[in-house]
Amino acid sequence: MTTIRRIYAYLLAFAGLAMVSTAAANLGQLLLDVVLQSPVATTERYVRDTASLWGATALVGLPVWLLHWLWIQRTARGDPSERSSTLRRLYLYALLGSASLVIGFSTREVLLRLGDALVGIAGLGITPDLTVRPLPFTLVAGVVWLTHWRVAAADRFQVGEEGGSATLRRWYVYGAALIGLMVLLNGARALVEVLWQIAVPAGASAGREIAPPVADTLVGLGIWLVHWVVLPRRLPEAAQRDDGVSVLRSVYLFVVLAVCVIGTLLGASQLLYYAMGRLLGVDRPGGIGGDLLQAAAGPASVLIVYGAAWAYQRDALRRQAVAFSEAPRQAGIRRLYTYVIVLVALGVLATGVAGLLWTLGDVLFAPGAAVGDFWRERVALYATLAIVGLPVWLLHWRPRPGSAAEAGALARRLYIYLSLIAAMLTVVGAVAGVVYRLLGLALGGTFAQDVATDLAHAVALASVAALVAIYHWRVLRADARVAASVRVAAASAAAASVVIVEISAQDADGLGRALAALRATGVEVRILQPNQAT
Amino acid sequence: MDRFTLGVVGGVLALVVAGLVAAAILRGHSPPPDLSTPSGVVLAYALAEQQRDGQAAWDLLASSVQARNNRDEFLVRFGNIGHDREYLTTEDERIDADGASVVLVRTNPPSGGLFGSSSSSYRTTVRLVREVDGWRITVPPDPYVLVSSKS
Repeated sequence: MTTIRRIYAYLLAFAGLAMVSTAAANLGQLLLDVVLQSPVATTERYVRDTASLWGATALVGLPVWLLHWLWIQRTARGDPSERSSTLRRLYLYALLGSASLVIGFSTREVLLRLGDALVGIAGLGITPDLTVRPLPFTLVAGVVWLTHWRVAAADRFQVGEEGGSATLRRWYVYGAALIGLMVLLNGARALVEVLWQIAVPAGASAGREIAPPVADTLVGLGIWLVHWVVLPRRLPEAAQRDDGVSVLRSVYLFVVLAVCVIGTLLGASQLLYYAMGRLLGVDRPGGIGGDLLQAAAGPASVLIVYGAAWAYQRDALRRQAVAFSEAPRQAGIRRLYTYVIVLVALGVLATGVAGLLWTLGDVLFAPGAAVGDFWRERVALYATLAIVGLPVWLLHWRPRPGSAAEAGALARRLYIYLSLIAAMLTVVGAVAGVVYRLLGLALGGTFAQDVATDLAHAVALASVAALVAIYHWRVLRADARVAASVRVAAASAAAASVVIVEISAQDADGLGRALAALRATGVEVRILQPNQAT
Repeated sequence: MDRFTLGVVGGVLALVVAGLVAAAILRGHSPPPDLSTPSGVVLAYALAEQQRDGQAAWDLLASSVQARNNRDEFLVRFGNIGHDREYLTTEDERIDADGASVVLVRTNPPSGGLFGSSSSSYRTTVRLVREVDGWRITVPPDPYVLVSSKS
């Protein structure tokens, strides 16, 4: 089948199936309405209109889908290249993705209505007609999902899976797992917050708030478990091995890790800020007054849920590292994650330090700044940012690169240059601010409160940004020296057939792998001082 | 870790400790406004605004003003004033036969926080009158809190 003919056939099959399945779900819903004598189906006109609308849709959609799908299947039986074509896989995984979304949304609706009925919203009690209305959508989408997953599995069994077709499956599986996990985390966070508020003295009472997070948590958990745990285990061993070293798997793992790290830090910093503000005598740090235990519900729930997810994700990465050796592109993804976290942490740390300097400058030089609570609230905020940003930056940042590859890595260079650019632009802006205020004073202006605080602000920003710029300039030069020494070593190696090299790795396993890789190229490797190997 | 990085870490930690210690120590040592002067009374009123302490502000109003206004309505209106992120100072204190006037200077630090634009100050003249127990305010910095008449 030619590509344009394939596009036509799969597009029509997709449209036909979408019409049939939507019509079937709506007709099922109408049937439930009539059987359960739902208030929406009391008029004959409503039943007639709904039945004719969705009946017509099904009657038109069914032959369109059947004709094109049977044509496609007949071609696939006679031609293995059809079965392995990328367009066919795109069709299958697009259908699976759409069906998963419908299953997720409709199941959430069912759970939400069931939850509302169970906690007795508005005294309605359990109303079966209202609760089960979304169920036909879940069932129809479930049937569509199951049959098409079996078609994809049969294709994989018969003609294998390579290149684009495997990539499409990974996009679907890891994309759905990511969406499921995000829904799960958000639902679990909201659930912990509601439970926390119920548990603390004078907190909210259980009620409508509990149903949405429970529904989100269950739906997210289901989608994530199916796509991250169940489906990958049902793949053939070769596909599981390929997935282990795939770039998309690394992207999934590190995107989730980054979300968990950032969520945990946000929760921790908000908690720390409230606590520190109260300790410093600020009544309403961040505008949050009242009972600290109640105010802590939001940030504590973020900290608990995202912290647990962070621990799980770190373990998942550790298991991944044990099971599969890191492919070069996977190393690139790991570096990208590391330097994104380093960049965020540096931004938080620099903001905290500059803010502290500014606040202390205000207290020392701006009249009226030390009156009231405002400056203490700022100290609490900026100290929190510095306290949270510093350890994260230190844990992820390596001033001296572990290898020449690390020194020249795109992610590292991007981090260094972005830090340099941001720092230099900040220095320029802050110096302009200082000159503006000094010129105003020189031209006869008075040294008032606003002038003093603007000068403290600009000097603090300029100082910290200059320090950041100098630091990263030094790192850039050190990295350049590492790269130059590698070039010299390579040139020497080219000139002589025997050279002495020093290889360092994080652990003995890494060193062993590096030596094995060298020997695999055919060169002779001799260890001179085995006891000093690191 | 190289020496420069260690120095940066040490500097950051020292700054954080200095900021927290200064905030903790100065917490109990910032002198309250001197209520025997018009400037002190105005500053105390502005601080009450920051802390949303309507009763303290009501007590600083002149008795004639209190007589013309409803206390409960004043407390409600006062609670909606949002001046809690400003630096406060006073200038141009004048005492004459009719009473006193003080200019209250409120400065808003850059609105976008650390990366905001320049700060701005605005000045309000507050009128006071001397009563038996000291200076009291007849025209507060936000006079709209007094618009309702006593029912």
